[in-house]
Amino acid sequence: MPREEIKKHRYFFAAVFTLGVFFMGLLFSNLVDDHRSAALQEDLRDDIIGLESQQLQINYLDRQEDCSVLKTGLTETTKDYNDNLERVQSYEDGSLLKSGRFHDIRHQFVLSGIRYWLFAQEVRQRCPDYDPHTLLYFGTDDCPGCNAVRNHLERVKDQYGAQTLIYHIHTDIDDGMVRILKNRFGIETIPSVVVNEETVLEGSVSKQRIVDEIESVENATLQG
Amino acid sequence: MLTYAIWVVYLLVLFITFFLLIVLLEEGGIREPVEHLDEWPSVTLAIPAYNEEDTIGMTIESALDVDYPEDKLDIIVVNDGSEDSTREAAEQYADSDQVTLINQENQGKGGALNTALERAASELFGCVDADSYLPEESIKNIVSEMDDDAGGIASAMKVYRPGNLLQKLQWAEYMVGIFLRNLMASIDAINVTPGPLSIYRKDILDSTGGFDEESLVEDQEICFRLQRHDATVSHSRTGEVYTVAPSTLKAFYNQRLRWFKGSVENVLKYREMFLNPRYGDFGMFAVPVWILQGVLSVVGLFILSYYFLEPMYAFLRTIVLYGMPYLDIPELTLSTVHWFLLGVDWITVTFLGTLIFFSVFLFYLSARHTEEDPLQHGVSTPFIYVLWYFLAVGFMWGVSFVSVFLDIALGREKR
Repeated sequence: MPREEIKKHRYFFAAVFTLGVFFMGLLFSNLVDDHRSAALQEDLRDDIIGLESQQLQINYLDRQEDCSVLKTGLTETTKDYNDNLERVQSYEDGSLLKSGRFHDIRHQFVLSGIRYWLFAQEVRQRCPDYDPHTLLYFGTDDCPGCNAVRNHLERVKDQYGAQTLIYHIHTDIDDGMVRILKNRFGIETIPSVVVNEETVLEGSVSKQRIVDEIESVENATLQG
Repeated sequence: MLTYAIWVVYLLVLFITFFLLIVLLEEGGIREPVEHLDEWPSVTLAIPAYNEEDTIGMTIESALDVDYPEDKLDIIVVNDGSEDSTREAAEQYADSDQVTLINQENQGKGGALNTALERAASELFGCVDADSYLPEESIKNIVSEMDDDAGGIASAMKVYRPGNLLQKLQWAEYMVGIFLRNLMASIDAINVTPGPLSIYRKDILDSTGGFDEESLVEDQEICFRLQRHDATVSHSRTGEVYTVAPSTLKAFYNQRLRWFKGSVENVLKYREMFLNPRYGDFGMFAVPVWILQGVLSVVGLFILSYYFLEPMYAFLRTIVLYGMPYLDIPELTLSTVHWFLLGVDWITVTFLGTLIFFSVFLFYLSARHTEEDPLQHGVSTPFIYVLWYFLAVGFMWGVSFVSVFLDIALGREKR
């Protein structure tokens, strides 16, 4: 007995519905990305305004007067910046449509990091009672050994709290300022960590090595 | 790479689901109540038994008790070289006029069925596993639902008195199976006539060469064979049979390994039907889906383990290598909730959400179709069935694929 003919329309419509749902999913993911980048950009604007205000404060205030305000401000903006940089990296990795917009936002965050770092040096000069340790990290998200170093930095931060400020210079970002900083500290390998603008620790350093470096600076200050 | 694997899985699952939904809409999943025939054809029920001393009595008794004209119903019990007291258990019924007992050297289930097929002189030939229970109206119902031109008909196979959780999960699985087979039957693409009870037209069975004596799954093999010969295979909604489901993980594992290995061998044997429009929806849809369900459940198992185990592993690794992080629990503010919502992996959530939605919907439709209370075994049974059962099944499919591959690669003998 011959078989009934295949009803082709069933295959056709099943395929159309499937692709329809699938493309709706892509649109949806794009929508989520929109919200993510909008939220990040809003934070970025807030950070810039905050920094501007702090710069005004430092210029207006006399020496030694009310450094505590600046101290809290700097610690908090740095923490926010660190959180956001982590976020933008994970959004960039998870984005289905590689549109490059998260890369641009990350670029902006790296630049803000540099701004905070410069500001931290300014604060250090103006307020003798506040001497934070700055740690400049040079590397990319997935370079070999980088993850370990970043984890060590996190633990160092846990240990010293507000006394440590960490700024990430992502070397995969094509930027003149990033290149200048690399030249200034003679960075040739990643990951590298610059402690208090003086010592350059290259490669996969241990947590203890970073801590030792911080302590030695502290001791030097105490003796001097 | 993983992203693309997920996309392919998602597209395939969506396609299969939409296809089945279209079939459901066009053919109607729920059948009319059966109208019994005016004149009953003669039926032989073959009960092959190998070491079934515990259940053979129940099966023969239920077969004797079914509501069917006695002169039209023969029962042939084939004791396939059992090493326990199956023979003695079966002999108790041998003085009934309807029952014939044949004792033979062990030849496997296919061989035992062929012995009965040679003896049978009826119009219809039924297979009944020696651990099944036939309700009184089962044979009349299944015979009435068999299409006039059909070569065979599959029964509505249910789990006999599910006791523990494993059996309850199989109850859910069998219920969904009935519904799906019914849908597949409506496009003439059924791929298994279950061993616990199936009825065939004897002349068609004879002309296709009877049962395969080598196959691990002779009930699936015979169905593929009928499809290969363009014989229609129907599905009965009301011709029920209750089968004893494995109650221990070990027995369950062994059963599935046999099924899945047999399935893979079967599809390899009939590979010319794969995506072959010559065999209608059976070739274009049923055979690919039969193998895909195995592949998809294995891939699904890997994807899910990756999604859940990889972050856990990464977290533990961080703790071991770099020490316990300072856990900064954020205050519950509008801002933290906002960042949390933005951080959720919405693609994965949507993907899993649709899959779970369709699974629950399928479970509900199946319960409606078989007229069973979906929550008769509590809420936990469908919950575990929908969310976790496929992981176990995926694992066993994986083992089966590897096992068949090794058999072929090493040139090992079957069995």
